[in-house]
Amino acid sequence: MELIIDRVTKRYQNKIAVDRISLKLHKGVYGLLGANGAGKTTLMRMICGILKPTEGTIILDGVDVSEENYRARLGYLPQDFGYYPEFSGLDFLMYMAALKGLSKEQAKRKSAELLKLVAMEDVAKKKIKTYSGGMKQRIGIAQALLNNPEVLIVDEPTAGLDPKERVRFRNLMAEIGKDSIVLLSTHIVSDIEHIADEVLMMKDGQLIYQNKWEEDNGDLEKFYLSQFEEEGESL
Amino acid sequence: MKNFRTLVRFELKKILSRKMTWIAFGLVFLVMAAYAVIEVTVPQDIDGVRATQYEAKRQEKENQKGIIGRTVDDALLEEMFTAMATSESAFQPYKDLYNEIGRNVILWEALSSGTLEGAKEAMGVAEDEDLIYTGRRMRIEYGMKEQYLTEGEKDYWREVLAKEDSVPWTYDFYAGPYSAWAMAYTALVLIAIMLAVCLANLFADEHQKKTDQLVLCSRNGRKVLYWAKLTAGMVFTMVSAGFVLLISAVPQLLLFGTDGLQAPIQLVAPASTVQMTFGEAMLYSYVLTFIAALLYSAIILCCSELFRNSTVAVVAVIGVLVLLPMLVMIPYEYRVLSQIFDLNPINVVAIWGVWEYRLVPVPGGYLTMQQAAPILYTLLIGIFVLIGRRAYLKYQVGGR
Repeated sequence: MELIIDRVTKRYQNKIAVDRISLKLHKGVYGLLGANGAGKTTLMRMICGILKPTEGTIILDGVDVSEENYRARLGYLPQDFGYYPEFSGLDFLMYMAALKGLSKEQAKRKSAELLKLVAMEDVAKKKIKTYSGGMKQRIGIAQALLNNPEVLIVDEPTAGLDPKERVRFRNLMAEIGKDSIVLLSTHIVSDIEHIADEVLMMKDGQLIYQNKWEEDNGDLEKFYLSQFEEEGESL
Repeated sequence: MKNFRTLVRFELKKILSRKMTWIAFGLVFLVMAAYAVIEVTVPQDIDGVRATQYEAKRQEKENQKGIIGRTVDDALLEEMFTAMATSESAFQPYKDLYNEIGRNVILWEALSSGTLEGAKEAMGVAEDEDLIYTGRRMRIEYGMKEQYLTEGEKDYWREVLAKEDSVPWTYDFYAGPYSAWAMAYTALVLIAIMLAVCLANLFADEHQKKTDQLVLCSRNGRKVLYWAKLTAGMVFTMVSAGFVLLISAVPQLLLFGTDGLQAPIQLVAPASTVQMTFGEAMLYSYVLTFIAALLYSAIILCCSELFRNSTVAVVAVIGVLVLLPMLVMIPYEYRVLSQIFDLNPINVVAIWGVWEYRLVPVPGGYLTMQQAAPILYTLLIGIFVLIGRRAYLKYQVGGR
């Protein structure tokens, strides 16, 4: 399995949000670090096919990002997204499962399994508008996993989760990364430092670092901060 | 399309789970129920007599017993003139004949002459010609001139009138079907409001609530979901239109009866060239109301996606398609513009739509406005659906 991101650029009228990024991703967890406005979300949206690159291509095993078959293999947890307040958690998962092309039986089975995984079986039939921020985030994680995605894109996934949930989530990502491509964006280094097989760093729309992070390399957080030193000083 | 039906069910659930949907249904039901209740219980001043609409219509039916089934001709008119000169009570059976036919095809000075001969003389109608039908042809000729018809259009109507087999008309009591037919106009206004309230958010909400990111990156989130949303919107439209028509028409037929379903609409619109009975006119208006409701729905859903904003959708339908035709009239001399404007559903569904002589030219002849309207609406539905689809497929989740 190979996800090829080839010279992908997103240009707006007077700004380049993502600048000629090329990557080849295989099974494993990829930690994408960058300050706010670095272009992480734009890049992830393009990988998910909901934002068209100005230039470049994104291909998964020969299937272009614009195709239905590409989306069938994708799971996405956006950074900031809404829900259908009148739906219950279970309704929401069943709806998302239908969107992802699961049969009714598969949808029921998978929803029950994921509700258990995110510890929400008890509140599955309650309306989403009654959920706390953390619960909403957990149901968001569950929907991203409904179709056993081969490519899982998660944008700032730990926002709203308590410390215990964060640890559970990290372990879950590491587990999924054994069979899938997981691209996890964050600006919190501790979210990825122990689970990422490879670290990617973005600054001003460009990829400024891409490599495995070994313990011998030192402290990832110090390295990350050093990359943004100028920015930090100017602030 | 995999999971299409499941997705339609969920989209319907989204529509039906909104409080505004149920408030809209409740208000429409209350308005129509109140209308029917008022007709039965609240007395009004009707022709100098204090009575409810229900009582007045029952009395009218009783009064008209003597003329129901009679041919509308000079003999009946002569009786009417005689009754007019006799007493108010003697005139009662002829009141509708006088108001609906007499006043619409016979000039006022002719009517006020008080005799058939005097009226014919005032109108310039020969003694051996029927006053009603000659007067009607004169009225139609005047109307065709007033509406700036071409010679070709005039010839078309003259040919139709020459072949008319409903003439001479047979008089009938028609209060039930007439009221039910007239209610199509009110129903269409209510349907437009309901659809604007209930459907304007169907696409816009996905963008405003940022759920679009989740749905658009899913396998069925682009093509299948668009059609599922559209189908859910259309199903809701059909059910809403059926509900509103039912609660507006059925009480009229229950209260005033179904007599007159076979009578020609010329008994209330004598100068109309449309060849329909009250039953057919009712059916036509209801079918057209359904098609118009689907058109409103297509426009609302298209604007909802195109502008990602429910307000634009509401303004497009309520403001432009409902209120504007109620408040504005484009003079006939701007022939093309006024004809296009008058093809809007509100005007075609309304009773006054049958006073329309202007034709729509098509290869090989003409279509009447009644024939052209459903074809045009269907085409427009297709166009708005395709515009909406294009906007939906091309939508990109940009910066927020």
